[in-house]
Amino acid sequence: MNLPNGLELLAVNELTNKHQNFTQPLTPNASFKLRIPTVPADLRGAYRQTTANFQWLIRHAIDNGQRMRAIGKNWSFAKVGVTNGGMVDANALTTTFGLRAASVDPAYLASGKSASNLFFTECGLTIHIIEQMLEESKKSVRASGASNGQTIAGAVSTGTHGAAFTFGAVQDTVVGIHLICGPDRHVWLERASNPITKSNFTDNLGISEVIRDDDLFNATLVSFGSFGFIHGLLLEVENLFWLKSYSVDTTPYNDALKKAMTDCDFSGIANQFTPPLPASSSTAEPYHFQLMVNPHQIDLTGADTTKGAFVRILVKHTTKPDQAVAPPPKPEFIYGDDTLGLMQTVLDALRPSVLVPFLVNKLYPAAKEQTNGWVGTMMEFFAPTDIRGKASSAAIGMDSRDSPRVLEKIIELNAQSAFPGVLGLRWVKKTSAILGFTRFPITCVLELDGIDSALTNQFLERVWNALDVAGIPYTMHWGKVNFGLNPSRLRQMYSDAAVDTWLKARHQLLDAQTRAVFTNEFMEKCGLDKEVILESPIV
Amino acid sequence: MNLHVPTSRLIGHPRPWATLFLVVITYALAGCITTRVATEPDCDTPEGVTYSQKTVTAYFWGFKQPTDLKPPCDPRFNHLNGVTVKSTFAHYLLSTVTLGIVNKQQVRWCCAPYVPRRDSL
Repeated sequence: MNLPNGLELLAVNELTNKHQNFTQPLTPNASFKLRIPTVPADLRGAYRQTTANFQWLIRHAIDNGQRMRAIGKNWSFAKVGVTNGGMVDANALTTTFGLRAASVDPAYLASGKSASNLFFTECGLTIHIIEQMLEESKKSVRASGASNGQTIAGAVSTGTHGAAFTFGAVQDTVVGIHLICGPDRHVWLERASNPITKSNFTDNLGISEVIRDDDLFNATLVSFGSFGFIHGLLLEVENLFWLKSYSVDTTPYNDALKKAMTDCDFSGIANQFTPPLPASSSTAEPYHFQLMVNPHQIDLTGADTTKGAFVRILVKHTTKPDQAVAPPPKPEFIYGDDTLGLMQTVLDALRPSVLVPFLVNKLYPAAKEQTNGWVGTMMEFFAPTDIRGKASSAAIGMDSRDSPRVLEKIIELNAQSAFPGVLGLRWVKKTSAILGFTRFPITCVLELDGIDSALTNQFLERVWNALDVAGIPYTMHWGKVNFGLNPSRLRQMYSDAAVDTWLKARHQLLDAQTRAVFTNEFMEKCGLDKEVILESPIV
Repeated sequence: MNLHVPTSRLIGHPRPWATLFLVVITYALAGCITTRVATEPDCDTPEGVTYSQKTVTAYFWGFKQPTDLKPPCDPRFNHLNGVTVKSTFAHYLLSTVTLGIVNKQQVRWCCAPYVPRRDSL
């Protein structure tokens, strides 16, 4: 096969995800790796050649009747981003560009922001490297996940959420998207309500079609690779800031904690921290709120103060706090790669009723991030994950006002049949992405992290069903365990109008042949492969 | 040694075959040793793909060694950010059965991504 500069054929017939939840069969000789081309040698020329390479791949897939998906760091627990066709390893696409003022829309500059607030990156760069590059110029990302090892395109596309309850998730940092949406088409997308760039920016990248449309942009943001290849993303960044950690090992489950959970109002629990949580000011604002709950050791009456929730709040400082204590190094030993897999074997083979709480109680202390008093940047607090081997993680998004009763419901279910894991709760501001799962005004993301086992999956199914029966609105994280998704549940979560807007946007951006390339089995299971009739012709 | 009694008490449903299975699996998986050398967490490949790993073999108690690996990293940077060496229970078993004549290890590498200096537009 004669390949253009920057493309390599991969000898790979299957793909196992990082957390070893699944192995996806692949079509032989259908997978490729993209690198920054050596010709042309200048970065702008290489970027344009890569655009052509993406289009070559789409043409190749159409000609051979194959499906195709780009892959980042392969972290997703669900098959949302893979297909039985070919995979395109885009991890080596790491070109970045800063913006000059002459490339920025005057309206953006008039809002008090500058060109230095904008950072353009190719899809393959990890959030970790982006953070390194930004810190060198005294800038910072506005949100990352709980970890920073994902590629930026992968994190955005699956709605990776972090815990910025006054800002939002990773996708909410994106203000421009270069989408390769056909063998002969690629577009630059921005919101009509928030124009960012001028034509000399897109001209330099070789982009002639610019679309400013809120619905198209917001649909593309969280589309898990089904809108084509995302070649580049324009991020809005801000001046470097620092986070100071306040944590309490066990906070009683009482009205004060429930008020923090429903309203992000920490006044009732502020004095439980040592030192107490500072009052909000122009230079220090709460940024991140997180709970960890051991479902086997929580007293929902609040009477037993030793059986409460672990609470962590990170306060955002615009200047580095005095006497900052940096995070300490990691411990010398960690559990082995096969430890969780071994537990899975035990749980699936024996279904022990007593062993589950015992195991969870032993593992729970390791899940709590003991960072009280530390000061660090985003990169230091949300470092690459050290989870090894087979693990399971599901997450449901809900309105923060529902979070206490959902937690109580899960504890009730756990009393009936033990969940082999712990619960993490984080709060995130509403996203503008149409299928972003952090869709509530303040979304409480409740994570069920544990061992990948049949027992875990049965418990998850009971949780989802119980929320349906209780009539509590919720969503599921696209990149985590979400096998309970089906077409009716999806439409119940997001509304018919939102799903139809997303489908319509996909039809407007991709022709039928290209849609077939970027449709995968996960979408078919969720009804996201459906055809829609457009009221107006494709622009 | 009676392994059945305490395990059965724990699980509440005596299953001798399951207990035996558990013991075998426990020893099999616990036999794995993984050692990582990592400088930075970033790689230019997805995690866990087979094209960034290789199983190497040494023979005759190490007298015949595998040749040096040359991972196909981008020549414009050509650095590694990490190497993982893993020995599994099957590797130990093979070595034991062959009295040390055949020794295998799995090696996985992580090429450091080539990140060009930032340009401006």
